[in-house]
Amino acid sequence: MTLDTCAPNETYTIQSIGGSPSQRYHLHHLGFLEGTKVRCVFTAPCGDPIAFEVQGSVFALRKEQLRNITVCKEDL
Amino acid sequence: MNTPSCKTVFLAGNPNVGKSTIFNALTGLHQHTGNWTGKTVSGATGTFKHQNQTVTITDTPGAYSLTPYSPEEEVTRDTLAFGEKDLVVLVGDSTAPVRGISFLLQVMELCPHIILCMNLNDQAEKQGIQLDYPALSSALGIPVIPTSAKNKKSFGKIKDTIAQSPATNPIALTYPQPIEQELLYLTQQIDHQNTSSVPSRFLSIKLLEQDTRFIQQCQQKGILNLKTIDLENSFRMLEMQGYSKEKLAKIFTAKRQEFALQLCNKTVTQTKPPKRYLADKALTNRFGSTVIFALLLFLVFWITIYAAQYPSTLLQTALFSLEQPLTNVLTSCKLPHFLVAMLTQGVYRVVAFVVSVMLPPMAIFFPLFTLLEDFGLLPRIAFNLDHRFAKCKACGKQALTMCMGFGCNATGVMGCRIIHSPRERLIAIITNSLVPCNGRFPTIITLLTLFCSLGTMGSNSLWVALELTGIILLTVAVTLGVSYGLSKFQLKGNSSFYALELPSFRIPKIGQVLVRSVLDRTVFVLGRSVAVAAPAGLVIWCLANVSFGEFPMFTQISNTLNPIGHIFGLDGTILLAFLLGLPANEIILPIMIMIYTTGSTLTETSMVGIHQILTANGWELETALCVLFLMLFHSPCSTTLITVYKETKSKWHTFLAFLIPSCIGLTGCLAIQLIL
Repeated sequence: MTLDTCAPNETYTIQSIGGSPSQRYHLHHLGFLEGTKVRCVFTAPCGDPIAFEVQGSVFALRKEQLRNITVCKEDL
Repeated sequence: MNTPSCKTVFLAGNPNVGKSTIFNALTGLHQHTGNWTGKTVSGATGTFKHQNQTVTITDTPGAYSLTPYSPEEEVTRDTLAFGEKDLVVLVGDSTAPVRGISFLLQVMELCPHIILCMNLNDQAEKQGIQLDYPALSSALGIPVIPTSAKNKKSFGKIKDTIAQSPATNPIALTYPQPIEQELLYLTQQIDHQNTSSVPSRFLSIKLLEQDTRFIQQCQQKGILNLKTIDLENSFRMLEMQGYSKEKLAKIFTAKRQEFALQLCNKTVTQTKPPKRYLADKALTNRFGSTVIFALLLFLVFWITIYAAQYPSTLLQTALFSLEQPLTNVLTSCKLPHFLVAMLTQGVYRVVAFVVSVMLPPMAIFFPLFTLLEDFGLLPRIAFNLDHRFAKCKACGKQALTMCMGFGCNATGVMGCRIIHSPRERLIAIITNSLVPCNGRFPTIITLLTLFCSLGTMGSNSLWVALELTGIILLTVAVTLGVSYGLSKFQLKGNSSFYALELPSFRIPKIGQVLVRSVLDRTVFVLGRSVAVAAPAGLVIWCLANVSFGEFPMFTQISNTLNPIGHIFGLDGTILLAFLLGLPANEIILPIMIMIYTTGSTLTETSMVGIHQILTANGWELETALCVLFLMLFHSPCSTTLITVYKETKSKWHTFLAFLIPSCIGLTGCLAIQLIL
């Protein structure tokens, strides 16, 4: 599944990141890498963008960007 | 061994970790701080003396990596790579240690003389995060200092550590064997030609990472000569062992993060359960968020208007009652009559008006705005508004730069460096002046109070605050509209990618912020009134009293401007005030009052008095509304225009920045006349 369809308060593990190279490297440097866990924490009033907790920080990404991030759900 | 008596230190780190706060604390300077990413967009340098040493310290914009994504990150990378330094102080956020240490590992490869300062320690404690500093220090091979703004001694520890010239033995991160081999070969080849302070190993990594821009810069500076390096061979060897160029571009970051994660797993403990983000959820709520923010805005305006009344009245009575005594003193000094009149009716009157009517609201609004900023509300505003900006094909970070514009449009324009895409940056720059800056608020408030309010002074403030809130929402809507228009017709393109960081809320030291901000603002406005308002007053007095021919120059100018003014529901004086007020918005209304009262002694200067002066000169509700609208939408001040040109390096875009608000303002004036 891709991250734009995430459910609030759920944790996911990133499997792959698509998009242009500069976008991917920027995400890497923010902490979004294959194997990293991200948690969906809250969304904007109209549902876009969505805020994720990753490695202790919170970043907001737009849904069109999240469609490039493939994840699998964490089974706790 | 002689310790050098002068040291150069650079501060670096991720955005919003407290570098500027530390910088301010160490140097006594006042870099702009606040709880959102993107405040520092250019370097700043200061000095401090400690233990017989003079330390020159440079603050850099926050960066997530040494591969820059937006212009301000490039400033950091260039400063760290090419600047001369003795030591780098890397500032990390104790609440997000993995990211800070990842960045540290990257910077370590560029600058081996480095110490780590884990800031926001108090925030980490609140969240139940504990770091084992000695373990971190021994694992990284460098000093690690815990600091927090609440604990002044911790900043002293930074000074001590810098002064002691700490021995740093930073660990060298090892990458997979095949890569290490190629790095060795490349490093040897580069060593032959590299005479700079940039480590050859760092350059090798950049070559394998394919950071083309940095490599080009190094070539231009003569640090690298690609012709003498067999880079293609290295790529071929690595490809054969399963490391494609694609993989190489991200493996270094991945390995650093992996190491950082493992290190933090060993040295960082989290004792509290994961955060629930209740405040964030409330502020970004589907139903309540707009109401909450509108209410906050209303509250800020109401406090500004209500609290500004008292100092304003006091200052008005005091300063204007001094005009006659001042005239008497100057006359008794046997100064020529025209000089006395020029100084009292020209210079003094304008400055007195600025200080008594313009200064109090500015000195109150700015600190309140700073408090909201320090608390961390701005990123949430940007988060909520992002969707609207996305529809205009603009960047959500424009919401942040727009908010900066409420303080000062020039600062807002410079702040647009945080926007990665040049097209979106231009849109943000051109539209920044569509929101009123601090200097325009007092005039807007005065006009609303005099012409658009009901009842007595006390109940006025609630009503005026409500109107002001509505006006601000209007300017935000206009910003979005113009951004949409620019996207569609002038600066076509699609939205670019960006990630907005939402830092934790921080309770600022309210008392300290207020006092410092009020003092700073007061000094700034006073300085500007002397530098700009005084000369303007002088110029106008001369125009009004010096004649070429039968009439004073001013009358001739006025006669020319009056017909033009009338078309827009204004008069010649108003137009002249706007023209002369180009250097600073807060002098526009004072100039108007000064022109209207030239030749007469100013006695009544309360709000009622101002109302009398204006109505005596033909002002009606319609005039006030036109002036109000023009106040919101007119040419940016000269400082802003210069900043726009410096940031865009384009005469056309600077012209657009001037033209668009002016056209909107004048069109609005025409519309108001038609409607009323």
